[in-house]
Amino acid sequence: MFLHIFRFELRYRFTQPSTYLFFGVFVLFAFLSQTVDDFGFNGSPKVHVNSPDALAQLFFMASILGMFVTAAVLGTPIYRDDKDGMTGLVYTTPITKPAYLAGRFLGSLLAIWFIYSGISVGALLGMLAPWVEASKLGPIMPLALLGPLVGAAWVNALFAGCVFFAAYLLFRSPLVVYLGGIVLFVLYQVSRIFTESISSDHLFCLTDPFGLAAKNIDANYWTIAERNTRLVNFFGGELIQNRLLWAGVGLSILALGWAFFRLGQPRTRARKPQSEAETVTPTTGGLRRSPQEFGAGLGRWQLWQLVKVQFMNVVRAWPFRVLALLGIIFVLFNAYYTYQDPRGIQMPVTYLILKLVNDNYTLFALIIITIYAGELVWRERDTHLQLVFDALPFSTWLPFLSKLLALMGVLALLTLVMDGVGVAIQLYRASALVEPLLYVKDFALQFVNLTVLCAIALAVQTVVNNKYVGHALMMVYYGVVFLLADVLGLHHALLKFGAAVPYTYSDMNGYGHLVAPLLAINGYYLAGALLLVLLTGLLWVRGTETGLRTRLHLAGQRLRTPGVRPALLASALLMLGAGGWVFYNANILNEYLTPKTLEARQAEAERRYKRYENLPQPKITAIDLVADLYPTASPRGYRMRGTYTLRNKESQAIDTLLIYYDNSRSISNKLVLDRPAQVLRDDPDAGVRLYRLRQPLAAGDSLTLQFDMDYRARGFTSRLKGTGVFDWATISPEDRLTANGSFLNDPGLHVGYLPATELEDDEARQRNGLKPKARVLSLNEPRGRMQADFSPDGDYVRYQATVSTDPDQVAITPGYLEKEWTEHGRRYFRYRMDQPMMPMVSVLSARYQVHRESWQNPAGGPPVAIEIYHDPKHNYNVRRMAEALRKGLAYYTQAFGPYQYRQIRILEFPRYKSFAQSFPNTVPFAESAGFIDDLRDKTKPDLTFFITNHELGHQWWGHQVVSANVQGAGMLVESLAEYSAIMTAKHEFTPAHMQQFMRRELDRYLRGRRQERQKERPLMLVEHQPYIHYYKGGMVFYALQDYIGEDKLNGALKAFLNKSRYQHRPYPNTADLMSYIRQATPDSLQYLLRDMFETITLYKNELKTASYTPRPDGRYDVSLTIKAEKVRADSLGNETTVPLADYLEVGVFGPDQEQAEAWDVRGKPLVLRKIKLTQPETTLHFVVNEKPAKAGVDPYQKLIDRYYYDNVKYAEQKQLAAKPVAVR
Amino acid sequence: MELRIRNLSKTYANGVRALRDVSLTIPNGMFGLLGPNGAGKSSLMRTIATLQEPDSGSITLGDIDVLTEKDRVRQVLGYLPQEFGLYPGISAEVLLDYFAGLKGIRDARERKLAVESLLQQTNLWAARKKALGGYSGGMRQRFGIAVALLGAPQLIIVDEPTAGLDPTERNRFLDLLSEIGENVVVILSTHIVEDVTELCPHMAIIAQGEVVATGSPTDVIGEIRGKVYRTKTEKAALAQLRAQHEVISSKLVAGQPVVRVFSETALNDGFQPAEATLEDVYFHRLARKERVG
Repeated sequence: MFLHIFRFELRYRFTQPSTYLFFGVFVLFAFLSQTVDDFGFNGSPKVHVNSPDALAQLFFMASILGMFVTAAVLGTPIYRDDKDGMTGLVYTTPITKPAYLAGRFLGSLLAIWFIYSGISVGALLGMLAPWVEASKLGPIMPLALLGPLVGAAWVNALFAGCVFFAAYLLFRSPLVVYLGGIVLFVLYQVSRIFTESISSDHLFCLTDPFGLAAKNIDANYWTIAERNTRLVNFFGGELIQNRLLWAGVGLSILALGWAFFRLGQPRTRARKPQSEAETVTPTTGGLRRSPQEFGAGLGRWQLWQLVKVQFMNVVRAWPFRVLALLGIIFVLFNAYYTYQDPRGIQMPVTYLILKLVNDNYTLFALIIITIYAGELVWRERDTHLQLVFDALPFSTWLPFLSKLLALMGVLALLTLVMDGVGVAIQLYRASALVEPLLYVKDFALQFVNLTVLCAIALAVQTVVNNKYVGHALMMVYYGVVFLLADVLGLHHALLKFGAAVPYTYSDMNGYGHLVAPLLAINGYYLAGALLLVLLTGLLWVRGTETGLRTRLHLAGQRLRTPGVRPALLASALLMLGAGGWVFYNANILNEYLTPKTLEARQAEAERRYKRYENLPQPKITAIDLVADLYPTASPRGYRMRGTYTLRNKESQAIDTLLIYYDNSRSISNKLVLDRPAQVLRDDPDAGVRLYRLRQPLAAGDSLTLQFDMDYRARGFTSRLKGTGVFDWATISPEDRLTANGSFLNDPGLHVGYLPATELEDDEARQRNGLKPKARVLSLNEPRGRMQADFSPDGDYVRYQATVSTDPDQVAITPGYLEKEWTEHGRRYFRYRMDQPMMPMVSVLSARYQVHRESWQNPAGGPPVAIEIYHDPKHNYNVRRMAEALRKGLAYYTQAFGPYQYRQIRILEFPRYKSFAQSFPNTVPFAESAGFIDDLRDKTKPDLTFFITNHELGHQWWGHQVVSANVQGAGMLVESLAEYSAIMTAKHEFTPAHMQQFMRRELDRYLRGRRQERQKERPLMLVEHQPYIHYYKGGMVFYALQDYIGEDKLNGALKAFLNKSRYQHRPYPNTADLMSYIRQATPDSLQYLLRDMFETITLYKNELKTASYTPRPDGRYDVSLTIKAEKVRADSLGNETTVPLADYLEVGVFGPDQEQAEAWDVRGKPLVLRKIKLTQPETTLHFVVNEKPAKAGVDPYQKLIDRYYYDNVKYAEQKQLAAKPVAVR
Repeated sequence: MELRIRNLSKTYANGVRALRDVSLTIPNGMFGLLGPNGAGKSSLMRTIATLQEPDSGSITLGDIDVLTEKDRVRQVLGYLPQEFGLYPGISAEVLLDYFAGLKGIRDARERKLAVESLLQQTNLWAARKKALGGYSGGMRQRFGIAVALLGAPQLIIVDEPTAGLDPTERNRFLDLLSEIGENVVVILSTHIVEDVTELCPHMAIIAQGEVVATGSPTDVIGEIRGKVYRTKTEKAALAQLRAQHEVISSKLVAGQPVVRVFSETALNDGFQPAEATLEDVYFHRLARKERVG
């Protein structure tokens, strides 16, 4: 019997075209991942697209996205019988329940497994495709295609399949099967949030039903080499536990459904019919003929009736309520985690709460729109009421419009509820921050977007006239518009129809200059939606005709209804008008640039001007700037005038000048030299001008370059990035000069070839016909030694500036304020720096409130003025920032040497870009970085303190010591600033905080290296690799001061700084610093310098066993078995073991004083000392005075160790009293 | 008001020819449309009810062109389809009120009266507050009738309205129909001959998409009057009888087949002349139609 049903199911599945269609989709998906650039799962060009790690990722992602296919296959075997009314026939045959269910389930399971095997087939075909470059492919490993097929795809299909199958058995409703899919998807999303968090990995892995989190933790810190060669192990680690757990959960759910299921009609339909009316009411009189009024206004009245009924219909449906509730729970869950984040939390300002709410409920809104668009369009037909309904006397546009309005109403209600959730979160955390007006504006924006999506979803359902095809098409649409648009080359807002317009709201600047594009683009979408609605209304199915020809014929008939054609014309004109306005602004007023155009332009500039790379050029020695800002004028704009003084510091005369200027089309550039010169070439695309001087500039001579740059905002530009946050390098002037909160850099003038403008990424270079290039000049390259790291065209310069702005704004630039006045209704500021400085210029202007303090060096000298310029709303952390500066100034002055200025200023700027950067005596700080950190809970990490001191550190490391433009520059500047901040934190934070903080550094370094795009370098040769110069640098210096002593290391740094202060031509490099550190390091620890700075060295330390026995004297014998291994990694992470003769910290601890992970120690150290280990395995014995709870090797994880969580163990009591042994 | 159907043809996408050159003139009053399952009755009715497009032909109702002026048709239409469902979670009273509103009865008081009247007429008054999901087939059918009769329809199209009704309900409904049928066009499709015989002054028989007979029942019967004979026979002899004679129908009476036969010439030999009925015409026409194809 079972075999019969099983075979029938198989035959059914394998004769269905859909089975092969799904199979084909997966083949294609996998094939594309191997053959198309942006579709691969390798993440780094150094990782092969067919590496085991990338393939595993492919199988996980495909099977997660494929969940809807699993639902379609495994949710339907029983539904099929119900739907077709077969149950009566089938269930009355003598089948048994086990045979029936098992046959159907296993047959469908085999089918879905077959479908998923398409991933392997497609991937294999992709690897064999002749046009894929050999360099992108590694060897074909059959196990890498089969392992994840079974371990990832098949297990996921089994789990999800059990859930869907059981969901139908339990509820006998296809909608519930859908909901099951959504719940799974939410679970998956939740687990993804978990994986972003860095602690409690094990628990988080288990919560991901699809195993991706487990795989990512297992392969978390894999190097490039490992990702290329190592097979993901499905039989160990987190994965095996995860897979077994969820396969088990799936089977349990299936068992539950199985137990509940009875062979019979679905309960809902088997409701007992009402017995015929008991009493016959006597008929009173004849039939009533009620007058019908078909006058004006009936349509509107009927519309209202229909909308009301359908709105209530959706809102009362329990699947809708479940979805809405899930959405709320999801938002609250995210809020909870946001405010538990060990990496720091922010104040619940309204825009952040709105972002939290919108980001997390959008998914649910999309699902609700998709599903309920289908339910509404099919409402009459699903209940077989359509013949009655369609013959009623209402206009044909009525049903579609009523459904649209009902769906919009539902979404409006949902959005309101979600906003209510947002308000509740704010009230709970900081009630004063609720901004009702901002909620209203955000509601409007959300609602417009949702309206457009509702119109699209209903149009799709109507036109394709098949509910499930409609759902699928909507998913394709979402995928294209929200995820793949940029990959597919659809960059323009006009092409991403219905996608939300990206924007950034700033507390300082409000919606600011983004109001215009928001209005125009949303207007375009709305007009398009209107047109779509009208066109769809023509195709609305009324009656029994569903053939395309008849529908078109009917559409023609409806088109002749009065009013239809004018409405179509009007909406088309509106759409054209709004679209045209967008196009006019983005493409005609401004230059429309795609990433590919920009790349091509960069490549072209390199081809044209690279030949001038070694051309001797004069250096900037003085900048005299007049900057006039018009932040609230119409149009907004600025004018920057002034002079650069350029001196020939070379030994030969210079006759050719290569000048770079800002190539933005909205900026007019006027350049004048103070001596006769011929313009050889002017290239406005690249922003390059080449001069031939009539009279060469003799060695030691100077000339002045006069400039006059005028920027006027012209309309609005297109947004290339979908996030609304822009890359600072390509950020357009319109985002820099804003109504409140301008942040301009220097005038954009540079002298001499700029290697920094070259394409860096090897893949991008190859695409554009360029050869790979070295990222940075090598450590001792003489040309690089003569250039400053971040301003190759200038050494220390004199700087003065006059800045003018609106009368209610304050404008600031590096230097000291000499004079302030008002003239012609504008406010002027005159700044001058009284000593040479790096040519790093910023000009900021905003309506600031200022917090002033001062710091007095106890060793004497003038006081240092501390000034924090901030938005009046953001005074939460201003005092803390000032305190950080005071503490930093004290520590740095004492440890490294004097602060060079009499003033330090922090300036807030809008969050169009989120960073902080240290200019001379001036630190611009994004409003999102520090100003709104929530420091009220003292147990949370204090990043404000840390970042403030990191930036302050740059006044020493970056402004007093300026690195040469060679390898290792990042270490001299960033690692030392990071170290400085870490040291202030060390004296400020609790040890637990500090450990939490250092864990973040380690984690970021280890994650960063798996994404390396070229070569990982040792610290002292770092090449613009943030994961090395910030995080490894921080780790290394912190460990070094722990090994050789804080004073020793600081002494070396101080000596180095003393020697290198303001040193230029040649600028110092890391080798210079290393000689000082080497001197300060005892011979026994010299090996550390090689490990930490000159090589990539990692430890594999593990505490194998930890046991203790009580001694008669009340003390305890402790025995620890330690495995220790040291490895060197090459640039791709291939490791070789090196001999061990290293001092490792070993500790025994009392019970944790506060809550801690198993692998962290928070207890009192009973023993803590560095012990030299030489063997792979060592057993150590200690005697301690108190009962030990935990023990560990390198227990605070100061060394770089990928498997840090096996360093610490709970100590176990051993029953047998061992013989007392010697104490070490 | 007169409904004129001219040369209506319809072929479905799957090749089934539902209507072939159908022409009918339907005056005020009850009009019976008689035909077996699949004859094209429902197709014809749906086309008149604006729910389906013909391939060719025309329909006019008074001065209304049914095929293009659909909105005007719907304003005077009451339609009961052969099969329909109802929202399971709503009560009859509420749904009927909702439909009444959509039918243009905007006055709330009038709507209430209309709903009450119809619920009583269709004998659903006692169950008016029950959810429609719990209604039996007969109750659902009566509810559909109530919807069709809402307002003041001039054209009432009821497709197999008596299917599923018990005899009492059937009679009640037919009374109701004939009451309003005096002043409006009522088209009643059925495959039950008595429905037509009892009620309809005009009728048509439709088979395989074609009108095979039309007129008043008496006219239609007239063409075979005096040509119908009946006889009793044995089951075993049936086949032989069919081969020799044009058998209209055979029924079992007390377990023995009673056969009615059509013959242009007088028959003896155990045959007795019989009073021709509409049913005889119906079966005769169908049989002829089948033979001709």
